Amino acid sequence: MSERSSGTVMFQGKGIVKGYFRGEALVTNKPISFLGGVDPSTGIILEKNHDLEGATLAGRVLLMPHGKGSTVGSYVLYSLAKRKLAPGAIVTVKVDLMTLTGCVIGEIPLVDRVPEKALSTIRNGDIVEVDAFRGLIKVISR
Amino acid sequence: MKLSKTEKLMLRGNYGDACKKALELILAIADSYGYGKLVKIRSAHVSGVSYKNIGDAGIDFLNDLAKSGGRVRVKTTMNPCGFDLDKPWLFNVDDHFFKKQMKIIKLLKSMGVEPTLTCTPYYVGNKPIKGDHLAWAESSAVVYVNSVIGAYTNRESGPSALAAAITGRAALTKDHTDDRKPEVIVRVSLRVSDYLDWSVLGYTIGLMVPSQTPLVKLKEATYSLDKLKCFSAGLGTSSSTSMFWLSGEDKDLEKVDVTSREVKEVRDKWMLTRRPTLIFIGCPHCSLREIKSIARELQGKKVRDDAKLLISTSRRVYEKASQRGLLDVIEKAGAHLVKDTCLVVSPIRLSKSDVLLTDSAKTAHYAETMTNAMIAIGGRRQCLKEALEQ
Repeated sequence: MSERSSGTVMFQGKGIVKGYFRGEALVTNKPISFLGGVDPSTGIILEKNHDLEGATLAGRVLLMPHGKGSTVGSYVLYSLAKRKLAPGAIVTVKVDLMTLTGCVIGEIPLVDRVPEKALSTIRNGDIVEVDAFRGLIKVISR
Repeated sequence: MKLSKTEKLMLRGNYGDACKKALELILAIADSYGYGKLVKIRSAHVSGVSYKNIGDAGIDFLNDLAKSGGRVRVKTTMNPCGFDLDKPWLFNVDDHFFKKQMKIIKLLKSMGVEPTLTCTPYYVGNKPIKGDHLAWAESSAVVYVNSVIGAYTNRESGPSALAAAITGRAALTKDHTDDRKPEVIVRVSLRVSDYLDWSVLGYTIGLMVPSQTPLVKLKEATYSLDKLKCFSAGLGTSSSTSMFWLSGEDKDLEKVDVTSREVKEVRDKWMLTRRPTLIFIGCPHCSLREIKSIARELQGKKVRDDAKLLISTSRRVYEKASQRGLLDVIEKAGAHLVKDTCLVVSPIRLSKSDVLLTDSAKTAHYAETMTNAMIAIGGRRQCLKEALEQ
């Protein structure tokens, strides 16, 4: 469900953890594991051969199909959020329990069930607005 | 979502911040994976207890939750931690790990979680009955209580089980209703008899059907509750299912055959080709009956000087074994009956020259990701024989 009327690109998903955030997009088609895949002291993605290897999560809008790996990843998200190193918002196609839990306990706005097309349309570095009250993702500038 | 008066108050913060956050999590799960409803639970079982698993991030969370008034509302038990509290030296535990682990246990205890430190809480007083609704984590226990006892629980995570314990509620999903039905038929043509057979069969089925609930049709099998426990652990390791069926509706279901060939693939991968240096029995934790039969085999014998034999169980079963003289027999043979922990969640270090022999496919599976040592599986008889002086 993307709309390009009046030049804005929008996607409708379902707001799971309510909140609002605007920031730079970090987009991947590969699931991320927060336990082992992310440095808990810096929020930098460590997973070898991941297309986001070396990128930093802090203050970004992370768009991914879903998370993966141990449910302990929830605690890593929580810990990152407490130290302001977590993504400002997370957007998923089909959220997994680990990511969902991490977002609730870390109070990170989460929008789930966005169309897969969002991951190919939105590019790294785009400025994106996440309205997790209404489940709306809007590309502000690219 | 329709909430009861109590739930509305919880969400408003009248039951404290911890309860509010916990309910938010359960509601988000109900909304995303369930029927948008909650179900009251009779007990909970919490995983993610070992410092090796949850690390400082986990302590951070538990600490905040306890400080904001977290307190369980139903009987809640604790999964194993990183070492035997009375014999930490057996598990390469350093000062740092020791302190962090004790802190985790203290935090969970302060919230009312019983320090059972076992993956088999159903042996030590957290025993559900058919039809009970629960919020349990620890996949082997989840699969066991759903399939063998007939209780209802989601396959909870550490944090979601704790949140359910604090609110007394779980997300109502298919796993809490009689909509849970077999999704695939697994026809097993080989004979299954000892613990290893059951463990490997569960693990193999999970590899073949990793996300569907199997109806397992066996031709020739020797059952016991302990063996079904080993099967549950094997299946829970390689599959995301929360249960299996041994009988039930099988109309129009896809069929999968498990023959000795599929099982042999797993067995060959973990074949013993050298003398083991560490022999581990007790994943999941041994019942008293299992310890009795192991003690019988060890009576009057001696473990090799160059090998270590660990038999793991829960604190409560350990005490019973001690009262009945079984501990004496085991220790006289030079073996260790250990409690509170298991190999997988302990920081134990194995070197490349070590050879681990176990009768659990679950232990073999996880040990592989932890160490460069050789990993092998063998039946319980073989495990004991390899450990003993000839």
